[in-house]
Amino acid sequence: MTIRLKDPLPPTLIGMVLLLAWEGAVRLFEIPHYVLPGPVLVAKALWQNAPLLFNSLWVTLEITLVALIAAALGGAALAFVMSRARWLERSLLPYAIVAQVTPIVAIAPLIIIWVDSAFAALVLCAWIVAFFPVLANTMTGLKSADPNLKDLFRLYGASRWQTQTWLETPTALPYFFAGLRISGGLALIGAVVAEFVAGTGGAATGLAFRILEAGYRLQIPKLFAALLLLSLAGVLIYATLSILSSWALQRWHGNDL
Amino acid sequence: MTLSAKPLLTTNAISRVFPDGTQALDNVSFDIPQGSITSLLGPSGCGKSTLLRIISGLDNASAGDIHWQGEAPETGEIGFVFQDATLLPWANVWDNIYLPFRINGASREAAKAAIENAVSLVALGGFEQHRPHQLSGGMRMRVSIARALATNPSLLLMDEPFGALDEMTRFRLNDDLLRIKETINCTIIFVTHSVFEAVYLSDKIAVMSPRPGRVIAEEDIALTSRDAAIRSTAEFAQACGSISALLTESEAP
Ligand SMILES: Nc1ncnc2c1ncn2[C@@H]1O[C@H](COP(=O)(O)OP(=O)(O)OP(=O)(O)O)[C@@H](O)[C@H]1O
Ligand SMILES: [Mg+2]
Repeated sequence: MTIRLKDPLPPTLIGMVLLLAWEGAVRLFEIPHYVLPGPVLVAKALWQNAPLLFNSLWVTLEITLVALIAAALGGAALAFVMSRARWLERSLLPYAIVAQVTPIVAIAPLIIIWVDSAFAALVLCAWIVAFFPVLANTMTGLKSADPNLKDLFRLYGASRWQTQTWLETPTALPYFFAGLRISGGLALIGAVVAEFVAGTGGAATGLAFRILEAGYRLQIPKLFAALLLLSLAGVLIYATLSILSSWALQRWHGNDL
Repeated sequence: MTLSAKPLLTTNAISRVFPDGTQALDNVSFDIPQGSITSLLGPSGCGKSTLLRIISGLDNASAGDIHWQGEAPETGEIGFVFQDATLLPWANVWDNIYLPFRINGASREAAKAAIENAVSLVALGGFEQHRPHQLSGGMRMRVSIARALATNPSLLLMDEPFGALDEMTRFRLNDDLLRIKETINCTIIFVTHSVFEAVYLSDKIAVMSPRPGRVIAEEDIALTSRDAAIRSTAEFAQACGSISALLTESEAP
């Protein structure tokens, strides 16, 4: 499912009204800025800490993107391998499910201890969270080929490889992209959670680390600014993946899918 | 035509019991005359599709066998037209028709002449670059027929190919099929629910009983001509009437 903003005016208006109400409420009730800073203060904090925060945004995005690419490749490849042989699916899928259902907060400390490179550890955490939707969706897709088309391939004596590349893989493509869009959000969550767990050890300098840091120092406007960037990153990832997938599906499937 | 020609194939007491115990076919025996259009006519669920699948090699009989006059056809020598067009949605018309050649390892160049010929047989010239979703239901069916014909099969199996189409389109495609049949040398087994369609198209009709399917009558049809005008003649009505009577008889317990 793709959410498209056909007309950006209503949400923009609502946003303005909410921001005004927020600022008004903060001033009216004299809420201290370490409890709830107004939007003006947040904007100021963002402006003042821009180099630092954008740097951190980049760090988080980098972790997320590397994990997402690895999830896309790894998930699709694993699905492909599993669809080749039933015994492979039976022996591998349970472990994929275990990795999926175990809360990442619980495994992250171990991974951070075991993996030397902080970057690699964070990527690994984000990957573990992100790869399953791609895997599960692609697997479903590979099995969704029209039975009549499968019969047709069989009738003409197609090899397993031909059926897989010319029928099953193209059929799976929309499923893969649907999985990828879910994985995009999850990869970001995975990266942030892992950074939180890694804590203020000094290794990580992503946005989650900035949020933690600002929280400890009671720099609440800065915390809000970091939060804002984080949401922005999420939206950015979702939008990019949506555009990418509709572009790819347009090319492959025409506009009916 | 006269059906004195030797049968292309004879089904020999074919039965099919599915693993869940459903008996679809029971001792089906009949001939398919070489070069004919033979229709399988019977109520829904009587095993017509199952029978086609067994003849094509997609399914196996539980008992009985098929006797081929001469060599049994090799892979790729049988064309199959399914009830829906069954096209690759992401591929254009040309690529869809190319599929059997591609599976067989033929280059696009090598397949070009055969594909162009098939496209013109079904009158789809100019639509080669269209994708299935850009075509009407009737046109999609024609692509499916072109794909089956392009490889020049000796046997063409058609499983209610026009069942989902409106009557106008169906009539036109019936005429197209008869016209195409004139120009190619192949035997056609045609499954249908429609008595009129069966009588109009066929040299021979095998009437089947309700499940478990048996062939209860093999009727040769010898219409004096096959064109739109014949549909309103007494001769046509009479042929339809006698086939209908056989069907009704078969439904009676
Ligand atoms: N794979 C299967 N497993 C179990 N039963 C099956 C299977 N395929 C078909 N059948 C059963 O076999 C019978 C014949 O099916 P078939 O599809 O051949 O009928 P048909 O004559 O083609 O019907 P229709 O005209 O509706 O297409 C049906 O009762 C059906 O339920
Ligand atoms: Mg059927």
